[in-house]
Amino acid sequence: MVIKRVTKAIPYILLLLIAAPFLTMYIGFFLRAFGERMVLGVIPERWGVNNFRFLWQPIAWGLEKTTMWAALGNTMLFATVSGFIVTVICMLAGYALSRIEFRGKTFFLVLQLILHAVPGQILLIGIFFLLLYIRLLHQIPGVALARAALEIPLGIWMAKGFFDGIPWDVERAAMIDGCTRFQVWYKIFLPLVKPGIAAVFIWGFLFAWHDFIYVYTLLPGTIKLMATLIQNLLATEVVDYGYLAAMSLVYSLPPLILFIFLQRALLKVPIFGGKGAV
Amino acid sequence: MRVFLDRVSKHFGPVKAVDELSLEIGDKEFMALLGPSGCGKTTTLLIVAGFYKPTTGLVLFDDRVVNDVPPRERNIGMVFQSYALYPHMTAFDNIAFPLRLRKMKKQKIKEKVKAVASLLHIEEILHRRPGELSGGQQQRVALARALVKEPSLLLLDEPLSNLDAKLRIMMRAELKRLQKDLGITTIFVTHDQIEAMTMADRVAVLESGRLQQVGSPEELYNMPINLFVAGFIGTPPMNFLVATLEEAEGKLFIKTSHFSLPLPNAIGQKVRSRTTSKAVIIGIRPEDITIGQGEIQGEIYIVEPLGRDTLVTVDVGGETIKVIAPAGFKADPHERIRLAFSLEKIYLFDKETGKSLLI
Repeated sequence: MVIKRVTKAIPYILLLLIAAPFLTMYIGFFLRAFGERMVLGVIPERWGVNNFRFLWQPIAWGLEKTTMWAALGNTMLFATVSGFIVTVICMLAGYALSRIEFRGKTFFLVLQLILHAVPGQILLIGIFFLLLYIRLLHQIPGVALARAALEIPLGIWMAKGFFDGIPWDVERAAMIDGCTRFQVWYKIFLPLVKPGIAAVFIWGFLFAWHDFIYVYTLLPGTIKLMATLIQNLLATEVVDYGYLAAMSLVYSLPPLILFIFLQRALLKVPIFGGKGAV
Repeated sequence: MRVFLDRVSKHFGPVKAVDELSLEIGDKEFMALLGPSGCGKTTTLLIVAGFYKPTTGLVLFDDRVVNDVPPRERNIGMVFQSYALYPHMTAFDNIAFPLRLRKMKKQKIKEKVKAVASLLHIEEILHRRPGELSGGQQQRVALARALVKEPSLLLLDEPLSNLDAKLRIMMRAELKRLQKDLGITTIFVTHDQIEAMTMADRVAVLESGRLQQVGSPEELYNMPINLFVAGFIGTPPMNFLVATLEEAEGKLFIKTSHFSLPLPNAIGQKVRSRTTSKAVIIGIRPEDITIGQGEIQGEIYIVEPLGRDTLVTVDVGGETIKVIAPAGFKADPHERIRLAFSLEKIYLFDKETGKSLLI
């Protein structure tokens, strides 16, 4: 009986051990954010929301002032535009690669994987000049476009996977019923791959949301995003860790909320009856 | 509408899925494409539907070549084996979908969907989604979706194979009646010879992408053109025995290692005029053998009562022969038994080519 209990407990103990470093970090993070005047760096003397004062107070930014809300708004714009671009392109490309035969298709698919393996940082200089020439440098939509390009290769594969799951017969039925290829995509496939749309959007949104290097390099100092704002707070002589933790907590909330919202869509996979065709 | 396939071939790389197929389907005709899996029957259907372009050959609707007409402009209705209903729409929306694409007025759509739903007895389930419907109901919705646009050609791709046995027999009759009432030219693909025989006006038997024979169910049953058709049509299938032809006393005899039978004069004459070869294959249907009398000796292998009659497997010198015996026939394995062939019902095939020697 005891042995049985012990054997049952082993996986949980192992999981807890693996999770412990992360849990400790998160706990520390919360304690920092909500605690004031820390003893030994970890134990708060008093609880309070003073660390969150940036929610109602302006923040010094060079010689000027800014607010957290401006940075949050910019970040939201940046991540949403990027996620939107990724979603539209991946949904169109994923359908084409899943359903249409054309010359060089396999090469194109392999190329996407190779492109994904290229780190975004090494493209920075090239992208800088590209955005400069097309007059999109120093603008959030332009940089969002560049950021989206990095996630599109793997996003296309994700989208293709979702389209592959739809039986050919459903597409054929739609075409018999009078759909053009575009109507099949729009009226039949998009509603059926809602989980895929959610997944690809989250993919594009998240990577843009926590991007630092692109927004730091390609946007001017006058346009603040959460990532550059936090970096700015770190780059001072005296770092207020509680303030930083509180801001980081606010920074991590929107993706979390988005995920909770879209989780239902992610789990809602349609069920097909009968035998699917090739 | 008439459909005419003129020497249609479809190649997938080196594979000839359909090979020089010529077939005419008359106006209001119910044509079955019958064959084992991989024989090219579904490929043929997809060519007619417009999803595949023939590698060579022409597809004609009435007198119009439609090779380059996309599926949506062919005015066809199609029911798929998997039904292929749109899972995110209710049954009503599924049926209304083709009409909405034609920008029909809302009121008109409602009327038409209601009409076809009552024809197929599915008025009660129109608000449900495909996931909440049984296989039989899904099939009716799929059929309604195909019929609601009043197509000039109806294509059915193994629509009965996902139904249980009882429902399949019911739908068989219902589909046939519906086709007759509506008078829509119909092509029906199946691997089940009973479905093809019971429902179709004419059956086209395909194998390895080639048309073997096309004709009414009776023609295929009574005058199979080759070994393949003879073996494919009829349950239980025809018995085949290797034999040689021998002349004696002005009569033609078929001789196997175990017995020798004189051929009736009518058959003998036909065979004489068609072949000089001695090696043949005899075909005899299980229902054309009488058990308990005759000069062929065998041993009971097993007896399977089927209710209406009894299926007996007999071992004749190492070859198994299936015989339909009357209901109530009883025998034990290894029991010695006599068999008589109805000689006027015998089939003869060339051993080399497999072609019938009687047609």
